[in-house]
Amino acid sequence: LRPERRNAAVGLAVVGLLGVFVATNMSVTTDMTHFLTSNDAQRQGRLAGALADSELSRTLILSVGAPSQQDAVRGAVALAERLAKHPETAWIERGVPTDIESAVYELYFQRRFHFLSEHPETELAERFSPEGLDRVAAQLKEQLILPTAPLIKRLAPADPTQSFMALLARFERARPRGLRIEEDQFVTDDGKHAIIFLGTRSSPLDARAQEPFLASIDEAIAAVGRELGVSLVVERAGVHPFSVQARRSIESDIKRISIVSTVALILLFLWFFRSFRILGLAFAPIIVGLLGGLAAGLAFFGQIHGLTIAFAATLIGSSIDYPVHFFTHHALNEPGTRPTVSFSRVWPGLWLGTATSILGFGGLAASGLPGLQEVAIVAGTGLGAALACTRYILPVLTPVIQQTAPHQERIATRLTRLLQGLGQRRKLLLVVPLLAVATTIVGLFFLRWNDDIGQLNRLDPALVAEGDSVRGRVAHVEPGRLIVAFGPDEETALQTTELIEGRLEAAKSQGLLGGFRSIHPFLWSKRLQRANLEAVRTSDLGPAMSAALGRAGFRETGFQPFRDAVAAEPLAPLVWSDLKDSPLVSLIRPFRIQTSDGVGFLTFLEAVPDLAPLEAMLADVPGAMVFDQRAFVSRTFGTYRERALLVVLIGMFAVLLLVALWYRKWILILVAGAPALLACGSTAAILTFLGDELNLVHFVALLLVFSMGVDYGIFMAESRHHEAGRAATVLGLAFACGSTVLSFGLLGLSDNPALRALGLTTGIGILASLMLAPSVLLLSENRAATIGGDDVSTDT
Amino acid sequence: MCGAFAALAATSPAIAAEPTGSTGSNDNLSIDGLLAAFRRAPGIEAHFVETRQIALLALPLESNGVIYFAPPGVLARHQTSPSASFQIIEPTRVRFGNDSHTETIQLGDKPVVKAFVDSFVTLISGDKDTLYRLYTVAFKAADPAQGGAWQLTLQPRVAPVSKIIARITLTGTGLVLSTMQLVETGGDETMTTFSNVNVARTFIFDERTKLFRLSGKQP
Repeated sequence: LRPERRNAAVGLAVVGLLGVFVATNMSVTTDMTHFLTSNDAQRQGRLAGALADSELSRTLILSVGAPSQQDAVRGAVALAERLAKHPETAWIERGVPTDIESAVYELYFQRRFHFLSEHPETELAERFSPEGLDRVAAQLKEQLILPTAPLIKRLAPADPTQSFMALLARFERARPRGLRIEEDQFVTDDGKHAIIFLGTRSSPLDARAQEPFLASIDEAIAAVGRELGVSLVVERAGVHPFSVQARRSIESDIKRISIVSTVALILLFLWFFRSFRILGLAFAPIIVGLLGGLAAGLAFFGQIHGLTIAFAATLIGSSIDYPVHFFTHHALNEPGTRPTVSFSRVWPGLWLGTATSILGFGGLAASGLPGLQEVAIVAGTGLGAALACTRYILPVLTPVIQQTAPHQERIATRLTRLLQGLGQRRKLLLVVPLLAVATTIVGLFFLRWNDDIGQLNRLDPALVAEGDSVRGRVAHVEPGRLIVAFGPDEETALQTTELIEGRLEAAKSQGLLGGFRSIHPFLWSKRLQRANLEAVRTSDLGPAMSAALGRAGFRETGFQPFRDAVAAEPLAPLVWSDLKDSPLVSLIRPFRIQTSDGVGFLTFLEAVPDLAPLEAMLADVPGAMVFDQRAFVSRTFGTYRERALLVVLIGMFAVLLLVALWYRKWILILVAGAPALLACGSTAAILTFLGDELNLVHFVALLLVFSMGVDYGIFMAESRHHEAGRAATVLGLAFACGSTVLSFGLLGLSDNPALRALGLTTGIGILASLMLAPSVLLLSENRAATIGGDDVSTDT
Repeated sequence: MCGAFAALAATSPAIAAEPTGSTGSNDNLSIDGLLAAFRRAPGIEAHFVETRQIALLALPLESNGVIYFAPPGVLARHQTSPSASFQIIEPTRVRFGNDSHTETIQLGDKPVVKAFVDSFVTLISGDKDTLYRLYTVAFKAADPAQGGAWQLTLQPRVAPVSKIIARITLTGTGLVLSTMQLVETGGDETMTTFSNVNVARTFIFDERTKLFRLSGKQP
């Protein structure tokens, strides 16, 4: 075997091993904390992650409308029956469980003394005084004429203090406003809609699972409508429809655009190279680059974040330039030239171009941000692997050119003439870089960053209106704005919840919020429950209550069960697991989240004009966190973008330094570096003039533009040694530019804001690079010739 | 006193419109006629005296006040003694309290309370279907020559009402209620005596707001 064939064989074997390694070790994470900076942000990130995967976000609300309330109820009952059988349905609720009353009685009646007072130390002494107990007895007497009297009379012998009734009243106040129950079915207050709550087994963001499930719901609605002979209008609220709509929209865009893009790319390659083998080989470096990058990521980190894959794959996409550059040079070489010889001509440029890109990404690795480090490792290694593939595998598999095709010859000749012509028109050449400089300077004044991640996804207004409408009927809480009581364990988190509860009551009385809902009506910390029991134990409640009842006209003998209960050994405090395993789970489910470092209890807020005063009120409550999901994500991405921008600027400086060290001539440094910098600047400016506010996707795309722009500059600078190869270089750039525009740039036609941002930025940036790289080279040659010449223009 | 109620009832346009001819006279009074007359009544007002015999109490609990009924199903019970309080019973909820505070009970998920408050409203709203669905009905009319007195006994047929209420016995003369006796399964008993019954009561806007604590909607 010749050495190059042996190297290629080894290379292919390595690619095979990489493929096996990636296939067997692939593990993708979506944990957002990976991309966060500070500890506080990481904690909020864990919260955001837990919320995204919580029971709350897995809940889909179905509002069933019909011509009459009766029909709506019938429809909801039948629909719930059908949907309950679906494997994706984890739970379904359309009313209060039938056994909830007995469950409440079993759990709470014997623990009624556990829940006497939120402030037992200060309140119970007064309540258990003779005057206080006289009031209790008088209240009991008044209760005997109410509609609830039958229930009260049954409970009173064991509970004359009406502690259990007070608990029930607390539950009553905690129930969501806007819903009532008719024939065991939730209906809205106006009676026009029946409501079903449904929890899904899969994450609502798992659009692959949710799409067929939503289709099943539609089928079930139609079937129920036919069965009952009623026209049902079912509206939905939840994350599920949005994730399905986003996937549909993105997939449809990508499908549409990728078909056009792939066909155009294939036609372009086939038209120019007239070879299916070349066509296949052109994509080999990208594939190998992806495999190499993923393998490195998995080896370093054990798993890779989904965002890393998306960003790194975009950056590795720049390696399409390598085979294009090689093939165009090879195609225009002397007939019979061996591919390895052609490759040796482009190798210095490819080597340096890749080195600069890896160095640029290396800046990201030095950022200290785990997410960016991952992107740097995966993208950097990927580009290295793509270069190695281009270096060791492609030349061996590329056929020897017997004769340059006539159309290739024609294009090369025309390009040579064009370059010569442009070289003699210095003023015309100046227009392009001057225009880029002016555009960049003006654009920088108007440039705006927008870190609102919501802007990256175009929500269907009809879907938004439908969700708002349903939520308006059943829930009045502020979506995405809540308070979290964090703790390493449940007990600590519950104690924090109790502190928050007190502060929020005060805030409510000051008009800072309309209301709030939390776990507190249902569950208190063990500490608070025990404090209540201690107050009862140390009091003389049994005999004192009997005396007060006697004074109020009750027969004292009827209350022996109460005296027995006071004297009895109390049950253990109520804990979350007691409720979780009971029919009450439907009431408490939304309030708890589990994160990797503890437990969080959520307090949902109603009508909060401004969160800042609440934050101030809770500032000294340890473990309390006011959380605004949208603001948090914006803040996170803003911080991230700022840090990333800084390290990228440092990376750019390092790239220019490497170029400077390599060429040691300022004109060559200018040729290699200026097109990339000006392309990035003018692209950002043009996007700003088009009305775009730049975001993280624009930023990643600009990084790609810079990486490819430097490659273009270096390829042009390297072409100074081969006047004959200059046309091939420019042709290669034009070809690479065309490929990039066809693969990335066409995404600019997408309806999805994120894809559009990626496509527009890449398309504009690469076109700018294509125009700038040859212009700057030709200008530099004229300049060199004018000042007495150096090797820029002498090697002709 | 019952005679006075009958006299008031005799002036009722609703009762005058009763096709069975059971207006002032009590000829051929039947349960259907009674319920039909209630259905036609524009509203009812009556004073009440209520005596509750409760095992837990050494002495009976007495209260009095006024009830108002606005079809099809809103009943207001305003107690004046021993303390001022109110109860407003609507199809889906009960509100009760006094001038300083109000509580609301949603009835949808409280079948026991709903059944308890519905028993009387079902009768005076003339809802025959519901009445027969929930109760075994025994109607006994005395000889018209004896003044048209009647007795209606309702025995709950279905749980949870049957577990709480043993029977409800209503008496009246002509189309006017005189008493209601509610006997609970536990032995407690409530006797309500009505007086000054006006079965032709109409409610103007201000009264609806004040008596039923409703907004401008027709109760």
